[in-house]
Amino acid sequence: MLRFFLGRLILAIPVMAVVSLVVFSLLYLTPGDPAEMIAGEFASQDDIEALRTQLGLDEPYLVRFGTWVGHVMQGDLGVSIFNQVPVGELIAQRLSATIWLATATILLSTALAIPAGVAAAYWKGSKLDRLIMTMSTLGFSVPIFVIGYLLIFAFSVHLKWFPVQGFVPPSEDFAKFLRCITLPALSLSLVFVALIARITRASMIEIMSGDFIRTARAKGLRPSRIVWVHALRNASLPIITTLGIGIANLLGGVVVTETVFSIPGLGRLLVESVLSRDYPLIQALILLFAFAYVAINLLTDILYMLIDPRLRT
Amino acid sequence: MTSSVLRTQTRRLVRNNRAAVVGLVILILFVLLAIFATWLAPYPPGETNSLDRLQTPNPTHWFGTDQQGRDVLSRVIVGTRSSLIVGFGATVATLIIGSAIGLLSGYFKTLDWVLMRIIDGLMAIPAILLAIALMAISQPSLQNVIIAIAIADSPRTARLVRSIVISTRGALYVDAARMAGIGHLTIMVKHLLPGTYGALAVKGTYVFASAIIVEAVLSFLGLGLPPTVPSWGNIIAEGRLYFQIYPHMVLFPAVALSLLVLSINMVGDALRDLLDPRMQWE
Repeated sequence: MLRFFLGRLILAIPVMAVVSLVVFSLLYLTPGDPAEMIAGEFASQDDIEALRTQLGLDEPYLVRFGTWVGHVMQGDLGVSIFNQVPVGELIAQRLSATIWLATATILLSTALAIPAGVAAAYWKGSKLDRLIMTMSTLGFSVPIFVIGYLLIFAFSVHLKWFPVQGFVPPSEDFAKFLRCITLPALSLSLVFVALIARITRASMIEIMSGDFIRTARAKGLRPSRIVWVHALRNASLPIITTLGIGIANLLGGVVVTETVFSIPGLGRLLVESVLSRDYPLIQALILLFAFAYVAINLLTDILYMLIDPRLRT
Repeated sequence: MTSSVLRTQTRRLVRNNRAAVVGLVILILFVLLAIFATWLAPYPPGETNSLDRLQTPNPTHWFGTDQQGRDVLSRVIVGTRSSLIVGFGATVATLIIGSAIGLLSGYFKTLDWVLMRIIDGLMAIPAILLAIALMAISQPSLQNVIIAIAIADSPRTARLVRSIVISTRGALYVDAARMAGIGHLTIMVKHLLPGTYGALAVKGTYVFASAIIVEAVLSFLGLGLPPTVPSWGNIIAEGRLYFQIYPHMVLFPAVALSLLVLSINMVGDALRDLLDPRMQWE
Protein backbone atom coordinates (compact mmCIF):
# COMPACT_ATOMS: atom_id res chain seq x y z
CA MET A 1 0.00 0.00 0.00
CA LEU A 2 2.65 2.46 1.10
CA ARG A 3 4.97 1.33 -1.68
CA PHE A 4 2.22 1.79 -4.25
CA PHE A 5 1.51 5.25 -2.93
CA LEU A 6 5.18 6.24 -2.99
CA GLY A 7 5.53 4.87 -6.52
CA ARG A 8 2.69 7.03 -7.72
CA LEU A 9 4.12 10.01 -5.89
CA ILE A 10 7.48 9.55 -7.62
CA LEU A 11 5.75 9.34 -11.01
CA ALA A 12 4.14 12.70 -10.32
CA ILE A 13 7.53 14.41 -9.88
CA PRO A 14 8.61 14.55 -13.56
CA VAL A 15 5.12 15.69 -14.50
CA MET A 16 5.28 18.61 -12.09
CA ALA A 17 8.84 19.38 -13.23
CA VAL A 18 7.69 19.69 -16.85
CA VAL A 19 4.66 21.72 -15.77
CA SER A 20 6.84 24.17 -13.87
CA LEU A 21 9.25 24.44 -16.80
CA VAL A 22 6.33 25.25 -19.12
CA VAL A 23 4.85 27.71 -16.65
CA PHE A 24 8.19 29.39 -16.06
CA SER A 25 8.90 29.63 -19.77
CA LEU A 26 5.65 31.55 -20.21
CA LEU A 27 7.24 34.57 -18.58
CA TYR A 28 10.49 33.97 -20.42
CA LEU A 29 8.74 33.94 -23.80
CA THR A 30 6.74 37.05 -23.04
CA PRO A 31 7.31 39.85 -25.48
CA GLY A 32 8.59 42.96 -23.73
CA ASP A 33 10.78 43.49 -20.70
CA PRO A 34 9.26 42.37 -17.37
CA ALA A 35 11.48 44.81 -15.46
CA GLU A 36 10.12 47.73 -17.47
CA MET A 37 6.60 46.50 -16.88
CA ILE A 38 7.02 46.10 -13.12
CA ALA A 39 8.80 49.45 -12.74
CA GLY A 40 5.95 51.27 -14.47
CA GLU A 41 6.07 53.93 -17.15
CA PHE A 42 7.59 56.70 -15.00
CA ALA A 43 10.70 54.77 -13.94
CA SER A 44 14.13 55.98 -15.04
CA GLN A 45 16.54 53.75 -16.96
CA ASP A 46 18.66 53.33 -13.80
CA ASP A 47 15.66 52.20 -11.77
CA ILE A 48 14.84 49.61 -14.40
CA GLU A 49 18.44 48.37 -14.42
CA ALA A 50 18.44 48.14 -10.61
CA LEU A 51 15.15 46.26 -10.64
CA ARG A 52 16.45 43.89 -13.29
CA THR A 53 19.43 43.00 -11.11
CA GLN A 54 17.23 42.78 -8.03
CA LEU A 55 14.80 40.41 -9.74
CA GLY A 56 17.68 38.42 -11.21
CA LEU A 57 16.44 39.01 -14.74
CA ASP A 58 20.00 39.39 -16.04
CA GLU A 59 20.84 35.82 -15.01
CA PRO A 60 20.83 32.98 -17.53
CA TYR A 61 17.60 31.00 -18.15
CA LEU A 62 18.43 27.91 -16.09
CA VAL A 63 19.67 29.92 -13.11
CA ARG A 64 16.48 31.93 -13.13
CA PHE A 65 14.42 28.76 -13.41
CA GLY A 66 16.29 27.27 -10.43
CA THR A 67 15.75 30.37 -8.31
CA TRP A 68 12.08 30.49 -9.24
CA VAL A 69 11.52 26.81 -8.35
CA GLY A 70 13.35 27.38 -5.06
CA HIS A 71 11.02 30.26 -4.20
CA VAL A 72 7.90 28.34 -5.22
CA MET A 73 8.95 25.36 -3.08
CA GLN A 74 9.12 27.68 -0.10
CA GLY A 75 5.65 28.96 -0.88
CA ASP A 76 6.86 32.25 -2.31
CA LEU A 77 4.94 32.72 -5.55
CA GLY A 78 6.10 36.27 -6.19
CA VAL A 79 4.34 39.61 -6.13
CA SER A 80 1.51 40.64 -8.39
CA ILE A 81 2.64 43.25 -10.93
CA PHE A 82 -0.79 44.78 -11.12
CA ASN A 83 -1.55 45.51 -7.45
CA GLN A 84 1.78 44.88 -5.69
CA VAL A 85 0.27 42.28 -3.32
CA PRO A 86 1.91 38.86 -2.77
CA VAL A 87 0.36 36.40 -5.22
CA GLY A 88 -0.25 33.93 -2.41
CA GLU A 89 -2.54 36.42 -0.65
CA LEU A 90 -4.58 37.06 -3.79
CA ILE A 91 -5.01 33.33 -4.32
CA ALA A 92 -5.99 32.74 -0.69
CA GLN A 93 -8.77 35.33 -1.00
CA ARG A 94 -10.26 33.61 -4.02
CA LEU A 95 -9.59 29.96 -3.21
CA SER A 96 -12.69 29.15 -1.16
CA ALA A 97 -15.25 30.20 -3.79
CA THR A 98 -13.67 27.88 -6.35
CA ILE A 99 -13.40 24.98 -3.92
CA TRP A 100 -17.08 25.32 -3.01
CA LEU A 101 -18.06 25.47 -6.66
CA ALA A 102 -15.97 22.39 -7.50
CA THR A 103 -17.28 20.43 -4.50
CA ALA A 104 -20.90 21.28 -5.28
CA THR A 105 -20.33 20.32 -8.92
CA ILE A 106 -18.77 16.94 -8.12
CA LEU A 107 -21.53 16.09 -5.60
CA LEU A 108 -24.29 17.20 -7.96
CA SER A 109 -22.91 15.44 -11.02
CA THR A 110 -22.29 12.17 -9.17
CA ALA A 111 -25.79 12.31 -7.72
CA LEU A 112 -27.27 12.87 -11.19
CA ALA A 113 -25.02 10.75 -13.37
CA ILE A 114 -24.66 7.45 -11.53
CA PRO A 115 -28.41 6.81 -11.09
CA ALA A 116 -28.95 7.90 -14.71
CA GLY A 117 -26.22 5.57 -15.98
CA VAL A 118 -27.44 2.66 -13.85
CA ALA A 119 -31.02 3.18 -15.01
CA ALA A 120 -29.93 3.38 -18.65
CA ALA A 121 -28.00 0.12 -18.24
CA TYR A 122 -30.78 -1.66 -16.34
CA TRP A 123 -33.43 -0.77 -18.92
CA LYS A 124 -31.02 -1.03 -21.85
CA GLY A 125 -32.64 -0.21 -25.21
CA SER A 126 -35.72 1.33 -23.66
CA LYS A 127 -37.03 4.82 -24.29
CA LEU A 128 -35.52 5.93 -20.98
CA ASP A 129 -32.11 4.62 -22.05
CA ARG A 130 -32.31 6.48 -25.35
CA LEU A 131 -33.44 9.66 -23.61
CA ILE A 132 -30.55 9.51 -21.13
CA MET A 133 -28.01 8.85 -23.89
CA THR A 134 -29.39 11.67 -26.07
CA MET A 135 -29.18 14.03 -23.12
CA SER A 136 -25.59 12.99 -22.59
CA THR A 137 -24.66 13.73 -26.24
CA LEU A 138 -26.28 17.12 -25.78
CA GLY A 139 -24.32 17.66 -22.57
CA PHE A 140 -21.14 17.18 -24.56
CA SER A 141 -22.03 19.53 -27.36
CA VAL A 142 -23.52 22.48 -25.52
CA PRO A 143 -20.67 24.59 -24.14
CA ILE A 144 -20.75 25.48 -20.45
CA PHE A 145 -21.40 29.17 -20.92
CA VAL A 146 -24.33 28.45 -23.19
CA ILE A 147 -25.86 26.16 -20.57
CA GLY A 148 -25.12 28.79 -17.94
CA TYR A 149 -26.92 31.54 -19.81
CA LEU A 150 -29.87 29.29 -20.66
CA LEU A 151 -30.22 28.39 -16.97
CA ILE A 152 -30.00 32.04 -15.89
CA PHE A 153 -32.54 32.97 -18.54
CA ALA A 154 -35.02 30.28 -17.49
CA PHE A 155 -34.61 30.10 -13.71
CA SER A 156 -33.31 33.51 -12.67
CA VAL A 157 -34.68 36.06 -15.14
CA HIS A 158 -38.03 34.37 -15.84
CA LEU A 159 -38.92 32.21 -12.86
CA LYS A 160 -36.84 34.25 -10.38
CA TRP A 161 -36.06 31.11 -8.34
CA PHE A 162 -32.36 31.88 -8.11
CA PRO A 163 -30.25 35.03 -8.01
CA VAL A 164 -28.83 35.98 -11.42
CA GLN A 165 -25.21 36.21 -10.34
CA GLY A 166 -22.94 36.46 -7.35
CA PHE A 167 -21.66 34.32 -4.52
CA VAL A 168 -22.23 34.12 -0.77
CA PRO A 169 -19.83 31.98 1.30
CA PRO A 170 -21.59 29.19 3.25
CA SER A 171 -20.17 30.43 6.54
CA GLU A 172 -22.05 33.69 6.07
CA ASP A 173 -25.49 32.40 5.09
CA PHE A 174 -25.90 28.77 4.13
CA ALA A 175 -29.35 29.14 2.55
CA LYS A 176 -28.15 31.98 0.35
CA PHE A 177 -25.03 30.00 -0.53
CA LEU A 178 -27.17 27.12 -1.78
CA ARG A 179 -29.29 29.47 -3.88
CA CYS A 180 -26.19 31.06 -5.40
CA ILE A 181 -24.28 27.86 -6.10
CA THR A 182 -27.07 25.72 -7.60
CA LEU A 183 -27.11 27.12 -11.14
CA PRO A 184 -23.31 27.46 -11.54
CA ALA A 185 -22.79 23.94 -10.22
CA LEU A 186 -25.54 22.62 -12.49
CA SER A 187 -24.12 24.21 -15.63
CA LEU A 188 -20.60 23.10 -14.78
CA SER A 189 -21.77 19.56 -14.02
CA LEU A 190 -23.54 18.82 -17.30
CA VAL A 191 -20.40 17.81 -19.24
CA PHE A 192 -19.40 15.78 -16.25
CA VAL A 193 -22.81 14.14 -15.98
CA ALA A 194 -22.67 13.24 -19.68
CA LEU A 195 -19.24 11.67 -19.26
CA ILE A 196 -19.97 9.71 -16.08
CA ALA A 197 -23.44 8.58 -17.15
CA ARG A 198 -22.04 7.05 -20.34
CA ILE A 199 -19.21 5.26 -18.60
CA THR A 200 -21.51 4.06 -15.82
CA ARG A 201 -23.91 2.66 -18.40
CA ALA A 202 -21.20 0.90 -20.40
CA SER A 203 -19.53 -0.49 -17.33
CA MET A 204 -22.81 -1.64 -15.74
CA ILE A 205 -23.96 -3.40 -18.92
CA GLU A 206 -20.73 -5.35 -18.99
CA ILE A 207 -20.87 -6.28 -15.29
CA MET A 208 -24.56 -7.18 -15.30
CA SER A 209 -23.87 -10.03 -17.71
CA GLY A 210 -21.37 -11.56 -15.30
CA ASP A 211 -21.82 -14.99 -13.69
CA PHE A 212 -21.78 -13.61 -10.17
CA ILE A 213 -24.80 -11.46 -10.96
CA ARG A 214 -26.66 -14.55 -12.15
CA THR A 215 -25.69 -16.28 -8.91
CA ALA A 216 -26.93 -13.35 -6.88
CA ARG A 217 -30.22 -13.45 -8.77
CA ALA A 218 -30.50 -17.21 -8.36
CA LYS A 219 -30.12 -17.02 -4.63
CA GLY A 220 -33.04 -14.60 -4.54
CA LEU A 221 -31.45 -11.28 -3.73
CA ARG A 222 -33.58 -8.21 -4.31
CA PRO A 223 -32.81 -6.59 -7.72
CA SER A 224 -32.04 -3.26 -6.05
CA ARG A 225 -29.40 -4.90 -3.87
CA ILE A 226 -27.87 -6.69 -6.87
CA VAL A 227 -27.66 -3.48 -8.86
CA TRP A 228 -26.51 -1.03 -6.22
CA VAL A 229 -24.26 -3.26 -4.12
CA HIS A 230 -23.02 -6.16 -6.24
CA ALA A 231 -22.89 -4.64 -9.71
CA LEU A 232 -22.10 -1.00 -9.02
CA ARG A 233 -19.13 -1.78 -6.81
CA ASN A 234 -17.62 -3.92 -9.55
CA ALA A 235 -18.49 -1.40 -12.22
CA SER A 236 -16.96 1.47 -10.32
CA LEU A 237 -13.33 1.24 -11.49
CA PRO A 238 -13.86 2.78 -14.92
CA ILE A 239 -16.24 5.28 -13.33
CA ILE A 240 -13.51 6.48 -10.98
CA THR A 241 -10.97 6.73 -13.83
CA THR A 242 -13.46 8.86 -15.72
CA LEU A 243 -14.02 11.03 -12.66
CA GLY A 244 -10.28 11.70 -12.66
CA ILE A 245 -10.27 12.57 -16.37
CA GLY A 246 -13.36 14.72 -15.93
CA ILE A 247 -11.60 16.79 -13.28
CA ALA A 248 -9.50 18.32 -16.07
CA ASN A 249 -12.70 19.46 -17.78
CA LEU A 250 -13.95 20.73 -14.47
CA LEU A 251 -10.83 22.82 -13.78
CA GLY A 252 -11.07 24.39 -17.23
CA GLY A 253 -14.81 24.91 -16.91
CA VAL A 254 -14.39 26.76 -13.63
CA VAL A 255 -12.94 29.73 -15.53
CA VAL A 256 -15.99 30.02 -17.75
CA THR A 257 -18.59 29.33 -15.08
CA GLU A 258 -17.12 31.89 -12.71
CA THR A 259 -17.21 34.49 -15.46
CA VAL A 260 -20.82 33.76 -16.41
CA PHE A 261 -22.06 33.79 -12.80
CA SER A 262 -19.67 36.48 -11.46
CA ILE A 263 -18.21 34.21 -8.80
CA PRO A 264 -15.04 35.69 -7.26
CA GLY A 265 -12.93 32.53 -7.58
CA LEU A 266 -9.60 31.45 -9.02
CA GLY A 267 -10.96 31.08 -12.54
CA ARG A 268 -12.08 34.68 -12.60
CA LEU A 269 -8.75 35.68 -11.09
CA LEU A 270 -6.96 33.91 -13.95
CA VAL A 271 -8.94 35.81 -16.58
CA GLU A 272 -8.31 39.10 -14.77
CA SER A 273 -4.60 38.32 -14.52
CA VAL A 274 -4.36 37.50 -18.23
CA LEU A 275 -6.24 40.65 -19.21
CA SER A 276 -3.88 42.78 -17.10
CA ARG A 277 -0.84 40.70 -18.18
CA ASP A 278 0.04 40.02 -14.53
CA TYR A 279 2.58 37.28 -15.26
CA PRO A 280 3.55 36.17 -11.72
CA LEU A 281 -0.14 35.70 -10.97
CA ILE A 282 -0.77 33.81 -14.25
CA GLN A 283 2.16 31.51 -13.52
CA ALA A 284 1.04 30.80 -9.97
CA LEU A 285 -2.52 30.05 -11.03
CA ILE A 286 -1.61 27.71 -13.89
CA LEU A 287 0.83 25.94 -11.58
CA LEU A 288 -1.87 25.60 -8.94
CA PHE A 289 -4.44 24.23 -11.40
CA ALA A 290 -1.93 21.69 -12.75
CA PHE A 291 -0.96 20.72 -9.22
CA ALA A 292 -4.62 20.19 -8.35
CA TYR A 293 -5.00 18.01 -11.44
CA VAL A 294 -1.99 15.85 -10.56
CA ALA A 295 -3.07 15.57 -6.93
CA ILE A 296 -6.59 14.53 -7.89
CA ASN A 297 -5.27 11.88 -10.24
CA LEU A 298 -3.07 10.56 -7.46
CA LEU A 299 -6.15 10.42 -5.27
CA THR A 300 -8.17 8.47 -7.85
CA ASP A 301 -5.32 5.95 -8.06
CA ILE A 302 -5.51 5.46 -4.31
CA LEU A 303 -9.31 5.20 -4.40
CA TYR A 304 -8.87 2.53 -7.05
CA MET A 305 -6.95 0.40 -4.64
CA LEU A 306 -9.36 0.88 -1.78
CA ILE A 307 -12.19 -0.34 -3.99
CA ASP A 308 -10.43 -3.17 -5.80
CA PRO A 309 -8.62 -5.49 -3.37
CA ARG A 310 -6.89 -7.24 -6.30
CA LEU A 311 -4.69 -4.18 -6.81
CA ARG A 312 -3.60 -4.03 -3.21
CA THR A 313 -0.89 -6.68 -3.35
CA MET B 1 -12.47 -2.86 -49.29
CA THR B 2 -14.20 -3.04 -52.65
CA SER B 3 -16.56 -0.27 -53.63
CA SER B 4 -19.70 -2.43 -53.55
CA VAL B 5 -18.98 -3.48 -49.97
CA LEU B 6 -18.36 0.13 -49.12
CA ARG B 7 -21.63 1.11 -50.76
CA THR B 8 -23.60 -1.52 -48.84
CA GLN B 9 -21.90 -0.43 -45.66
CA THR B 10 -22.64 3.19 -46.34
CA ARG B 11 -26.28 2.39 -47.05
CA ARG B 12 -26.54 0.46 -43.80
CA LEU B 13 -24.80 3.28 -41.98
CA VAL B 14 -27.25 5.83 -43.31
CA ARG B 15 -30.19 3.64 -42.37
CA ASN B 16 -28.93 2.83 -38.90
CA ASN B 17 -27.59 6.24 -38.20
CA ARG B 18 -30.09 8.92 -39.02
CA ALA B 19 -28.45 11.18 -36.44
CA ALA B 20 -25.21 11.20 -38.42
CA VAL B 21 -26.99 12.15 -41.63
CA VAL B 22 -28.79 14.97 -39.84
CA GLY B 23 -25.45 16.06 -38.39
CA LEU B 24 -23.76 16.01 -41.77
CA VAL B 25 -26.54 18.05 -43.37
CA ILE B 26 -26.36 20.68 -40.61
CA LEU B 27 -22.58 20.79 -40.88
CA ILE B 28 -22.73 21.29 -44.66
CA LEU B 29 -25.29 24.07 -44.19
CA PHE B 30 -22.94 25.81 -41.77
CA VAL B 31 -20.03 25.49 -44.22
CA LEU B 32 -22.17 26.98 -47.01
CA LEU B 33 -23.25 29.73 -44.63
CA ALA B 34 -19.60 30.53 -43.93
CA ILE B 35 -18.59 30.53 -47.61
CA PHE B 36 -21.46 32.75 -48.74
CA ALA B 37 -21.64 34.74 -45.48
CA THR B 38 -21.19 38.18 -47.01
CA TRP B 39 -23.92 37.54 -49.60
CA LEU B 40 -26.33 35.94 -47.16
CA ALA B 41 -26.00 38.47 -44.35
CA PRO B 42 -28.82 41.03 -44.74
CA TYR B 43 -26.63 43.86 -43.39
CA PRO B 44 -22.85 44.46 -43.23
CA PRO B 45 -21.85 42.89 -39.88
CA GLY B 46 -19.96 45.97 -38.70
CA GLU B 47 -22.56 48.56 -39.74
CA THR B 48 -23.63 50.55 -36.68
CA ASN B 49 -26.91 52.43 -36.49
CA SER B 50 -27.52 54.57 -33.44
CA LEU B 51 -31.27 54.77 -34.09
CA ASP B 52 -31.78 50.99 -34.10
CA ARG B 53 -29.91 50.11 -30.88
CA LEU B 54 -30.91 47.10 -28.74
CA GLN B 55 -33.93 45.98 -30.72
CA THR B 56 -35.57 42.69 -29.86
CA PRO B 57 -36.14 40.29 -32.79
CA ASN B 58 -38.51 41.80 -35.38
CA PRO B 59 -39.25 41.46 -39.13
CA THR B 60 -36.43 43.83 -40.20
CA HIS B 61 -33.88 42.42 -37.78
CA TRP B 62 -34.73 38.74 -37.29
CA PHE B 63 -32.25 38.28 -34.44
CA GLY B 64 -32.58 41.87 -33.16
CA THR B 65 -29.76 44.39 -32.91
CA ASP B 66 -26.95 44.98 -30.40
CA GLN B 67 -25.93 47.98 -28.30
CA GLN B 68 -24.43 49.70 -31.36
CA GLY B 69 -27.40 48.96 -33.59
CA ARG B 70 -25.59 46.21 -35.50
CA ASP B 71 -27.73 43.42 -36.94
CA VAL B 72 -27.23 40.30 -34.79
CA LEU B 73 -28.30 37.88 -37.56
CA SER B 74 -25.63 39.27 -39.90
CA ARG B 75 -23.01 39.07 -37.18
CA VAL B 76 -23.95 35.48 -36.36
CA ILE B 77 -23.79 34.51 -40.05
CA VAL B 78 -20.38 36.12 -40.57
CA GLY B 79 -19.25 34.71 -37.19
CA THR B 80 -19.67 31.22 -38.65
CA ARG B 81 -16.53 31.96 -40.65
CA SER B 82 -14.33 32.63 -37.60
CA SER B 83 -15.53 29.47 -35.91
CA LEU B 84 -14.98 27.24 -38.93
CA ILE B 85 -11.62 28.80 -39.87
CA VAL B 86 -10.27 28.46 -36.33
CA GLY B 87 -11.77 24.97 -36.00
CA PHE B 88 -10.32 23.79 -39.29
CA GLY B 89 -6.93 25.46 -38.84
CA ALA B 90 -6.52 24.19 -35.30
CA THR B 91 -7.55 20.67 -36.31
CA VAL B 92 -5.05 20.49 -39.16
CA ALA B 93 -2.27 21.91 -36.97
CA THR B 94 -3.14 19.58 -34.06
CA LEU B 95 -3.17 16.50 -36.29
CA ILE B 96 0.18 17.44 -37.86
CA ILE B 97 1.95 18.27 -34.57
CA GLY B 98 0.30 15.35 -32.77
CA SER B 99 1.16 12.73 -35.38
CA ALA B 100 4.73 14.00 -35.74
CA ILE B 101 5.33 13.68 -31.99
CA GLY B 102 3.40 10.42 -31.82
CA LEU B 103 5.36 8.88 -34.71
CA LEU B 104 8.75 9.89 -33.30
CA SER B 105 7.81 8.75 -29.84
CA GLY B 106 6.34 5.44 -30.92
CA TYR B 107 9.12 4.62 -33.36
CA PHE B 108 12.26 5.66 -31.49
CA LYS B 109 12.35 4.07 -28.05
CA THR B 110 15.12 6.45 -27.00
CA LEU B 111 13.04 9.53 -27.73
CA ASP B 112 9.91 8.02 -26.25
CA TRP B 113 10.71 8.61 -22.59
CA VAL B 114 11.59 12.29 -22.97
CA LEU B 115 8.72 13.09 -25.32
CA MET B 116 6.19 11.28 -23.14
CA ARG B 117 7.28 13.13 -20.00
CA ILE B 118 6.78 16.43 -21.85
CA ILE B 119 3.38 15.23 -23.05
CA ASP B 120 2.45 14.15 -19.50
CA GLY B 121 3.39 17.58 -18.21
CA LEU B 122 1.40 19.39 -20.88
CA MET B 123 -1.58 17.13 -20.27
CA ALA B 124 -1.55 18.01 -16.58
CA ILE B 125 -2.55 21.54 -17.56
CA PRO B 126 -6.20 21.42 -18.68
CA ALA B 127 -6.28 22.27 -22.42
CA ILE B 128 -8.39 25.37 -22.04
CA LEU B 129 -6.13 26.78 -19.30
CA LEU B 130 -3.04 26.11 -21.42
CA ALA B 131 -4.70 27.92 -24.32
CA ILE B 132 -5.53 30.84 -21.98
CA ALA B 133 -1.94 30.95 -20.72
CA LEU B 134 -0.60 30.92 -24.29
CA MET B 135 -2.92 33.75 -25.27
CA ALA B 136 -1.50 35.71 -22.32
CA ILE B 137 1.89 35.86 -24.03
CA SER B 138 0.62 36.67 -27.52
CA GLN B 139 -1.59 39.23 -29.20
CA PRO B 140 -5.22 38.36 -29.90
CA SER B 141 -5.37 37.27 -33.54
CA LEU B 142 -6.79 34.47 -35.64
CA GLN B 143 -3.37 32.93 -36.16
CA ASN B 144 -2.41 33.02 -32.47
CA VAL B 145 -5.73 31.51 -31.40
CA ILE B 146 -5.18 28.63 -33.84
CA ILE B 147 -1.63 28.07 -32.56
CA ALA B 148 -2.69 28.21 -28.90
CA ILE B 149 -5.48 25.68 -29.43
CA ALA B 150 -3.23 23.40 -31.49
CA ILE B 151 -0.52 23.34 -28.81
CA ALA B 152 -3.09 22.68 -26.10
CA ASP B 153 -4.82 19.90 -28.05
CA SER B 154 -1.94 18.03 -29.68
CA PRO B 155 -0.66 16.05 -26.64
CA ARG B 156 -3.76 13.83 -26.72
CA THR B 157 -3.38 13.24 -30.46
CA ALA B 158 0.30 12.41 -29.93
CA ARG B 159 -0.69 9.81 -27.33
CA LEU B 160 -3.18 8.22 -29.72
CA VAL B 161 -0.73 8.02 -32.64
CA ARG B 162 2.01 6.71 -30.38
CA SER B 163 -0.16 3.87 -29.09
CA ILE B 164 -1.03 2.78 -32.64
CA VAL B 165 2.57 3.04 -33.83
CA ILE B 166 3.79 0.95 -30.90
CA SER B 167 1.33 -1.78 -31.82
CA THR B 168 2.31 -1.77 -35.50
CA ARG B 169 6.05 -1.14 -35.42
CA GLY B 170 6.75 -4.80 -34.66
CA ALA B 171 4.73 -6.00 -37.66
CA LEU B 172 6.40 -8.16 -40.26
CA TYR B 173 6.00 -5.63 -43.06
CA VAL B 174 7.82 -3.02 -41.01
CA ASP B 175 10.71 -5.42 -40.37
CA ALA B 176 10.73 -6.27 -44.07
CA ALA B 177 10.90 -2.60 -45.00
CA ARG B 178 13.74 -2.04 -42.58
CA MET B 179 15.67 -5.02 -43.95
CA ALA B 180 15.16 -3.73 -47.45
CA GLY B 181 17.19 -0.77 -46.32
CA ILE B 182 14.40 1.77 -46.24
CA GLY B 183 15.13 4.83 -44.13
CA HIS B 184 13.46 5.58 -40.81
CA LEU B 185 11.60 8.60 -42.12
CA THR B 186 10.11 6.68 -45.06
CA ILE B 187 9.07 3.81 -42.79
CA MET B 188 7.38 6.22 -40.42
CA VAL B 189 5.56 8.23 -43.07
CA LYS B 190 4.84 5.54 -45.68
CA HIS B 191 4.33 2.46 -43.53
CA LEU B 192 3.33 3.48 -40.03
CA LEU B 193 1.41 6.71 -40.53
CA PRO B 194 -1.27 5.22 -42.85
CA GLY B 195 -2.23 2.83 -40.05
CA THR B 196 -3.31 5.80 -37.95
CA TYR B 197 -5.54 7.47 -40.58
CA GLY B 198 -8.79 5.91 -39.36
CA ALA B 199 -8.20 6.85 -35.75
CA LEU B 200 -6.94 10.29 -36.78
CA ALA B 201 -10.07 10.98 -38.82
CA VAL B 202 -12.22 10.18 -35.80
CA LYS B 203 -9.97 12.14 -33.46
CA GLY B 204 -9.97 15.01 -35.94
CA THR B 205 -13.73 15.50 -35.75
CA TYR B 206 -13.60 15.68 -31.95
CA VAL B 207 -10.65 18.09 -32.08
CA PHE B 208 -12.64 20.17 -34.58
CA ALA B 209 -15.60 20.36 -32.19
CA SER B 210 -13.46 21.15 -29.17
CA ALA B 211 -11.41 23.78 -31.04
CA ILE B 212 -14.60 25.60 -31.97
CA ILE B 213 -15.70 25.57 -28.33
CA VAL B 214 -12.28 26.74 -27.10
CA GLU B 215 -12.23 29.61 -29.62
CA ALA B 216 -15.68 30.69 -28.47
CA VAL B 217 -14.62 30.45 -24.82
CA LEU B 218 -11.38 32.42 -25.42
CA SER B 219 -13.25 35.14 -27.30
CA PHE B 220 -16.00 35.15 -24.67
CA LEU B 221 -13.37 35.77 -21.97
CA GLY B 222 -11.86 38.55 -24.06
CA LEU B 223 -8.69 36.55 -24.77
CA GLY B 224 -9.40 35.21 -28.23
CA LEU B 225 -10.10 37.00 -31.48
CA PRO B 226 -9.87 40.82 -31.48
CA PRO B 227 -13.24 42.39 -30.55
CA THR B 228 -13.53 43.88 -34.05
CA VAL B 229 -13.90 40.40 -35.56
CA PRO B 230 -17.49 39.18 -35.46
CA SER B 231 -17.15 35.76 -33.84
CA TRP B 232 -19.78 33.98 -31.78
CA GLY B 233 -17.67 34.24 -28.64
CA ASN B 234 -17.24 37.99 -29.16
CA ILE B 235 -20.95 38.55 -29.79
CA ILE B 236 -21.79 36.63 -26.59
CA ALA B 237 -19.15 38.57 -24.63
CA GLU B 238 -20.71 41.88 -25.69
CA GLY B 239 -24.22 40.63 -25.07
CA ARG B 240 -23.27 39.55 -21.54
CA LEU B 241 -23.76 43.07 -20.17
CA TYR B 242 -27.29 43.36 -21.56
CA PHE B 243 -28.29 39.75 -21.01
CA GLN B 244 -31.03 40.20 -18.44
CA ILE B 245 -33.04 42.63 -20.55
CA TYR B 246 -31.91 41.70 -24.09
CA PRO B 247 -31.09 37.98 -24.00
CA HIS B 248 -31.25 37.66 -27.81
CA MET B 249 -27.67 38.93 -28.19
CA VAL B 250 -26.42 35.94 -26.22
CA LEU B 251 -28.99 33.29 -27.09
CA PHE B 252 -28.76 33.35 -30.91
CA PRO B 253 -24.97 32.93 -31.22
CA ALA B 254 -25.09 30.44 -28.33
CA VAL B 255 -27.64 28.28 -30.12
CA ALA B 256 -25.65 28.49 -33.38
CA LEU B 257 -22.51 27.40 -31.53
CA SER B 258 -24.25 24.47 -29.84
CA LEU B 259 -25.87 23.35 -33.07
CA LEU B 260 -22.58 23.39 -34.98
CA VAL B 261 -20.74 21.46 -32.25
CA LEU B 262 -23.60 18.99 -31.92
CA SER B 263 -23.60 18.33 -35.68
CA ILE B 264 -19.83 17.71 -35.69
CA ASN B 265 -20.12 15.33 -32.74
CA MET B 266 -22.90 13.40 -34.49
CA VAL B 267 -20.74 13.00 -37.59
CA GLY B 268 -17.79 12.02 -35.40
CA ASP B 269 -19.77 9.31 -33.63
CA ALA B 270 -20.79 7.78 -36.98
CA LEU B 271 -17.24 8.02 -38.30
CA ARG B 272 -16.02 6.21 -35.22
CA ASP B 273 -18.51 3.39 -35.74
CA LEU B 274 -17.47 3.10 -39.39
CA LEU B 275 -13.69 3.44 -39.19
CA ASP B 276 -12.65 2.42 -35.76
CA PRO B 277 -15.12 0.20 -33.96
CA ARG B 278 -12.56 -0.74 -31.34
CA MET B 279 -11.79 2.78 -30.25
CA GLN B 280 -13.09 3.29 -26.76
CA TRP B 281 -15.46 6.11 -26.10
CA GLU B 282 -13.48 8.88 -24.45
